[in-house]
Amino acid sequence: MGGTPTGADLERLLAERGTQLMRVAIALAGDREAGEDLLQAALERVLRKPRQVDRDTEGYLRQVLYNLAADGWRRRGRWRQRLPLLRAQASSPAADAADVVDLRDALVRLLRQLPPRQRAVIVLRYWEQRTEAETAALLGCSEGTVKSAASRGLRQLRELATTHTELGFELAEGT
Amino acid sequence: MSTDLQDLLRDGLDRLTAGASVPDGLVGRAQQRNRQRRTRNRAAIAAGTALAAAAAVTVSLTITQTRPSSVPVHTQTIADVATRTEQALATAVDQGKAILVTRMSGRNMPFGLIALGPQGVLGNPSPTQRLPGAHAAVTAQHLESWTYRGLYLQEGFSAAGRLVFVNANGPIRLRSGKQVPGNYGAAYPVQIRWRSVFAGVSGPAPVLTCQNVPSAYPNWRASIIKALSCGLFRLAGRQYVDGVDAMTLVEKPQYGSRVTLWVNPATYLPVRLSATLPGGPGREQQVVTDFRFLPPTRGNLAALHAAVRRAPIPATFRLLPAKYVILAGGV
Repeated sequence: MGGTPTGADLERLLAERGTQLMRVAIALAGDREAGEDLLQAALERVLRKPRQVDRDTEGYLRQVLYNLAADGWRRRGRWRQRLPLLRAQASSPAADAADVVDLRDALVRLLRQLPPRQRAVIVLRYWEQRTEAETAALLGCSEGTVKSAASRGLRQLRELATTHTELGFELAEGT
Repeated sequence: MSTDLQDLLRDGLDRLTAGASVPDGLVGRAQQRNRQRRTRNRAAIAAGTALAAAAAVTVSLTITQTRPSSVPVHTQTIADVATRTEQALATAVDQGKAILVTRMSGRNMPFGLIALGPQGVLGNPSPTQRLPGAHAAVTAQHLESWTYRGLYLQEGFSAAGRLVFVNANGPIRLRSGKQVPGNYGAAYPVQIRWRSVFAGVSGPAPVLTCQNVPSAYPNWRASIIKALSCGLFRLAGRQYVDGVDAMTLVEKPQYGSRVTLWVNPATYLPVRLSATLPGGPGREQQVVTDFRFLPPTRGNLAALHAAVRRAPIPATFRLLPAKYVILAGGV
């Protein structure tokens, strides 16, 4: 599908590729509700400026998604909600499958709290397995920016993982 | 980042996005928003004002109001229900969009207080349910709780409806005037009160892990979200509860207990939770908790304030050492 897309073109695109696009939007936005809003905002952008779509409508829609997410398209602090904070606990239960689930959930929660651009970079690099060059092209920034954003985001995730693995963790209510 | 951590992150995002589907009418809503935007922009230009920018902001802030609230249930997986329930609870409670009111009633299960010291670990508590220095255990027949904007207030009532104890996690005002989170309350029959500040990493808060997700600790929102995110439940059809054709989630059995959670399919908020414990031959214990999510209207806020005022904590009561955190629940 190429050229200037109409609403019907986008309906067809979502019928074929909607699940993948929705998953990307959720990963970028942090939850399903925000993901739906993000995808809708990207569709609005494409419909407002259809002439900017050269050949690949899906590619363009994805690029809009990434950029809206990286720019914090809705600066209401959804990522910065007062999520449960992690803190160290001296007594350590043995690591097992349930601990892995705890750590996995904790990583996703922490990811939601990263700044939008760091989050977008990490989703692109480590979930979509994009290269630094591809990530930079999609976000419209330099590879250096991608490197530094990935580095800062990963540092926080690594610290969390180390704390969790060595000490176990408990939840402190942020509410 | 290690490969293991990359895998975990990928798994986490896979789970977060599992079962995603595009809601019906998304393109139509995008077109409608654009039409509204154009209309507002034209009006702003005609008026010679800068209203267009404000209109754009308004549009972005009202997006969530246009989404249909229900989705087809027959396609849902437990992961989908769990994620939506986690999000609904987080939205309702964390963002202060609802006052969560619960009522716990028990069979062969009184409600009381546990004092947790610096070394205490939930799941392996002190064998006594007496407060330190109290001459008797303090028990209630049912337990009511209120959760709203950082306040978690629990009240234990006798069979005659008399207030037996109150226990709260919420802001405590220091002498300096600064407010910090803490734990406070009173047990009326033994005239004991407590007041302790949650002091960050050195605090005695119990561990909350997948193997140890006690009900209502540190509050209902946190414990249900934790249990769901740990994958402890499976879907088990529908059942009418309190007039709601609720989705039934059954916890995978552990330690002989049976836990069932009913969730409203329209809101994804809990309706009821039932926990049955072995408790020895002929003495099976059961606790049923009913959930209500009240909009923070003037009347409902007045009811919350009435609950807070109902439980004065007399300064004449003996004060427990600040090292204790008090938990209320089935004993």
